[in-house]
Amino acid sequence: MAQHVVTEVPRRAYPIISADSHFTEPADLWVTRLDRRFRDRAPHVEHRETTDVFVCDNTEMFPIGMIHGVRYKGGDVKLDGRYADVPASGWDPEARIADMRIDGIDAEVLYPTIAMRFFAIEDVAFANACIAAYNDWAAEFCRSHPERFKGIGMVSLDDVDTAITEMQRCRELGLVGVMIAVFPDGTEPYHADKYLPFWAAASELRMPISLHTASERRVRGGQSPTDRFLHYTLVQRTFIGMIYQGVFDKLPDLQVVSVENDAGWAANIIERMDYVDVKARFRNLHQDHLNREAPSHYWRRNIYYTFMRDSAAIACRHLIGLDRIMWSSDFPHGDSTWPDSGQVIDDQMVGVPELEQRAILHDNAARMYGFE
Amino acid sequence: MAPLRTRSSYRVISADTHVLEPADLWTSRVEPRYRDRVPRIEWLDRGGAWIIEGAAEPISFGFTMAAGRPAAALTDWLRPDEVDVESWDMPEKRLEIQDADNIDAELLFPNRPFQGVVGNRDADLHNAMVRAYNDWLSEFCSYAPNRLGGVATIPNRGVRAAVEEVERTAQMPGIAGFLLNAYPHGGTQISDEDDPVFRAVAATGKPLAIHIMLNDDMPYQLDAGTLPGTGHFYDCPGRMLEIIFSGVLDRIPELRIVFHETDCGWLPYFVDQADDNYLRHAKATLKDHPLAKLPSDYVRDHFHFSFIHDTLAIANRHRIGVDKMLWSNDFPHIASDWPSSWKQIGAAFAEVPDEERQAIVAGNALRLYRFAN
Repeated sequence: MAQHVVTEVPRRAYPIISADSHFTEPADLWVTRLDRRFRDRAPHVEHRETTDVFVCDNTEMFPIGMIHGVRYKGGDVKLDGRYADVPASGWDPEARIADMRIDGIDAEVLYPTIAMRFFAIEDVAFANACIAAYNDWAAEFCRSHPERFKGIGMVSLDDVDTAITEMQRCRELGLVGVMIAVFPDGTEPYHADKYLPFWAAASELRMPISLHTASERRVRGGQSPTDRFLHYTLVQRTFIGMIYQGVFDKLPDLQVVSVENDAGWAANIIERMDYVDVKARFRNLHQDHLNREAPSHYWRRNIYYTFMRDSAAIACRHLIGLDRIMWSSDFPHGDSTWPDSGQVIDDQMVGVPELEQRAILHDNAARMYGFE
Repeated sequence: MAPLRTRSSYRVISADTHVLEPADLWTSRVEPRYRDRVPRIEWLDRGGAWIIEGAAEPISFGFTMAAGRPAAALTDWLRPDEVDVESWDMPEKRLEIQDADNIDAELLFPNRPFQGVVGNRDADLHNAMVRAYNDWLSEFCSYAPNRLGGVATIPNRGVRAAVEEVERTAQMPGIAGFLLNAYPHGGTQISDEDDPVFRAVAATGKPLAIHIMLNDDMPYQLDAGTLPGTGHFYDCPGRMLEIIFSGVLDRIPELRIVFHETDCGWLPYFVDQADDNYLRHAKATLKDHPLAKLPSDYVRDHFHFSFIHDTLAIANRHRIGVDKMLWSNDFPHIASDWPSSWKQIGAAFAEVPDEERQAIVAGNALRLYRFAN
């Protein structure tokens, strides 16, 4: 994609940070880096007659055509593809910067693509080995241009102690946060007591925890046409549960980031939860869930959101919290705003004061992830 | 006799309230061979409860009639001397209760024991219990049909019985609309099989109502440890999409659907995202699921929403559509501000022009459900 004709993008007076962009991991990442005990099972690319496929035991991986779907916009979404055609900007920092210039983006918070599916691996030890190799590689990539790239590591919460250890390692590697599966399908909800040591460790390490769309613990079979419209409901449930169970009351510094689930939905819930909690007399009925503050306090103190296109969130930004919402490009996935991010941003920001735009496009992510 | 209301004299209509089913509703009306299998009230040591076939435990009713009770006095278990069960079958008392809150009319939905009817899997018994409920509802509301709008239940254990029941009740006095608890063919996933039922509802000119969600599980005992009421809008967004993508609104364009107690402050976000996702994926991942128009067009043409407290919706009413919003007081449930609804309306609508407030607190409900006008 670096060969795209470079056009002049009007610049803002401050750097624009995409709070959610993606690596496309090199085909040989796990073949060359996976713990030797698992090397014979390393996730790898197989060349088939009509397409290449990523193979990882029997876990369903993303189709090659989708991992750089930004090339195939609109009516041309492709599932098939050859790894040789995947642009190097997925794994080569210099090629990456060239693609960012085309789009007028200065810095990125980087998430995995292939590795997101590792949350669905059943063999926990194998999953953790695959994840560790990704974390090593992601950290190396970001060290090339730390002022432009901040990497998000991964941890599997199937084993909480291991998750804490790997999160500490991520921090030592220079990664600025970790993602966990967006929803703990089939296991206890994230507000359950068993996860509390993990949340406490994240708070102590000042590591924000990300819940990224499409990173489910179990890949859902039989896609219904309506699924893609409802991704945000998974994080809704998690946040409601964590707030009511007092997780954020116990851990005032914990930050959880909803990634690529939009934010416009939050305004209604924030109001509703305050109503239920403060006005509707439920305090007398739900002694177990008493927080010291109203739910909105935790929504605005402990939760962040990233979005690409969400004019409802912009309209409700003061209710949700101007300092809680972060714009992103989602490059290089199919829903990405690349190479028209400037236009997509301008369309949404009509009537928004300059300083408030800056919070959403730069300040919030810079503060959270330590961009200088 | 209650004062009659005419179309021009409704100040406020509560678009979502609940009956208290009389203790003998089913035992006195269902044919004798079923009488020992239908819901009934028993007074246990702890207090009164509905005994329901298929429910895991007795279902007490204190929380479902909590409106107006001080927080310190709230309990789910009531003794016989704490509750006037006889009054549950007296429409004249119901009007007094409305008058105390200055409510001119209300739409009446079932209360918790009715979920035991919805959940019952014996189709014959289920249909018999639905008929008994609808008969009772019509009798109760016919006392003052311009103030009591009964929402008749559509049975959910077979399409044919559902069509018959809609046609049987369509012209009964006091019936203002039809309540869908689960899809008529059974379960909570839509099927083309259900079309004849929706066609029958559309033919009556009355709306199809969905209250919070579709659900054909048995009722369970409310428990103070359950996470409190933030789930009102979990079902509705996906339910609208399911209905839109099923094509039923293209096949039956006259169908009007009102979601009750789902709020609608979330609607502007939902509609924006639905259109955006649809437009970007229509030719790709959604190419096997074409729509005749945009999701937002279906929402505009077919759906309405009721709420109890939703200041975000009131502030965003022009993005939602003033004509899509219906206020309610949810009497006699715990969220109700009875008997101070006017105070709550005054505060919530302080910035809203009179004409718009009037539409939301009365006009829209009247236009859709008519109340025998």
